[in-house]
Amino acid sequence: MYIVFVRHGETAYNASGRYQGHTQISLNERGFAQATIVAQRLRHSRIDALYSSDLLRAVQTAEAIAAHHSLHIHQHSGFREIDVGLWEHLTVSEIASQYPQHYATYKQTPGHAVYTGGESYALMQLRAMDALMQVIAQHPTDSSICIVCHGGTIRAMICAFLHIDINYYPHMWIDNCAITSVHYQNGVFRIGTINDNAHAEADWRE
Amino acid sequence: MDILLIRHGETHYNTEHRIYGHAQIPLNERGKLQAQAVANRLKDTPIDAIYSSDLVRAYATAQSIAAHHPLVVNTDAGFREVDVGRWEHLTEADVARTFATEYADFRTRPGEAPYLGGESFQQVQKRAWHVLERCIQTHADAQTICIVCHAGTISALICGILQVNINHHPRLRIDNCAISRLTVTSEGIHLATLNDNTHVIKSRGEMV
Repeated sequence: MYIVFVRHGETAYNASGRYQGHTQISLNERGFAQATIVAQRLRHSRIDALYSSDLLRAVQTAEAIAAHHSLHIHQHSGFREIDVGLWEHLTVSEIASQYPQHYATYKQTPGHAVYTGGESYALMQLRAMDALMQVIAQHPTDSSICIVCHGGTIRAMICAFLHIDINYYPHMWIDNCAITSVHYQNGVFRIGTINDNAHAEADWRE
Repeated sequence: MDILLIRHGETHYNTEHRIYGHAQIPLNERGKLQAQAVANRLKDTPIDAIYSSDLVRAYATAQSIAAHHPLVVNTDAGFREVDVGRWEHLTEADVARTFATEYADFRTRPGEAPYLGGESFQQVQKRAWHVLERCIQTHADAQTICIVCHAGTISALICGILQVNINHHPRLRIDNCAISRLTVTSEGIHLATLNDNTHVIKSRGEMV
């Protein structure tokens, strides 16, 4: 099975460096443009089923992709971004000054620290992988699936695919509307690309 | 600092699925086109230094990139592909038939088991890491450097960066002339992109 993960487009919170977690925030103008470009890139790709996190920014991005394919968007809350609890709406410097102890714990063990009032990456990874295995079970093994979700969720799943300690998730980066692809066969995930954002380079737009 | 890790272009050993390690096999026609495609993609990218494995397939690819930049290619044997010892020039089927015991061990732990009379990927990781660190120390924070080398070398380095068990290195796909990008900051080395080869696909006139 071939699975392509797409991170959602930019929002005002991405642009201002605010934690958004489960906030229902729309793509901004740039985010809609990014969604159009990644949808263009994927317009000739085979997609047998399209899934999305049920958060607005992911659904809006999935709608752009769906416009080129006659596909229904399956929304699944398991692909949501990490729940950042009380850190929602705040910038890193605000978090560091308002929650210094929790922030210090997070910096030390970013995968296992529980965001105050929210989840840990380790817990989010379990629910995202649970959602992914449900999706895989529902389609024939030669299917091609597209899943639109979030930077944290995609990185947590990559950690699971490669058996990387979840505390290392910050050593990867996923850009808005970048593509990450994996092949799944006999219980093993092989990585094709991580954060392929070639479509964002000016020369590559059509 | 940005570090672009680029795999060499195709050779006829790639198409014949021969194990070649340090064998000096030149790029084939398709490999030369791939090298031009990656060079073309990077022609407007400010690059401050180009390093390459000293094996000809990597060096020729690095030369294509250097043709668009006022730079000489610095070769370093530390970026070479894994030394495959006695399995050089053989196909995997040959090896499975002739060296059944060693091959079975290799399949079980493909990162730790050495090629018969050669290196393991764990050893490659160690020597390549050593030269990578030297490159990082040589260049200023704002610079971009290009390192042209091999699939085994690139996947071993990325396993080191993400703390992936070296036996899982075959789970990372590294295509001919694909770009993988590392960013180095005060917080360490990050993987920004793995295996972006859209320029190669596009150069074949296919949809990316």
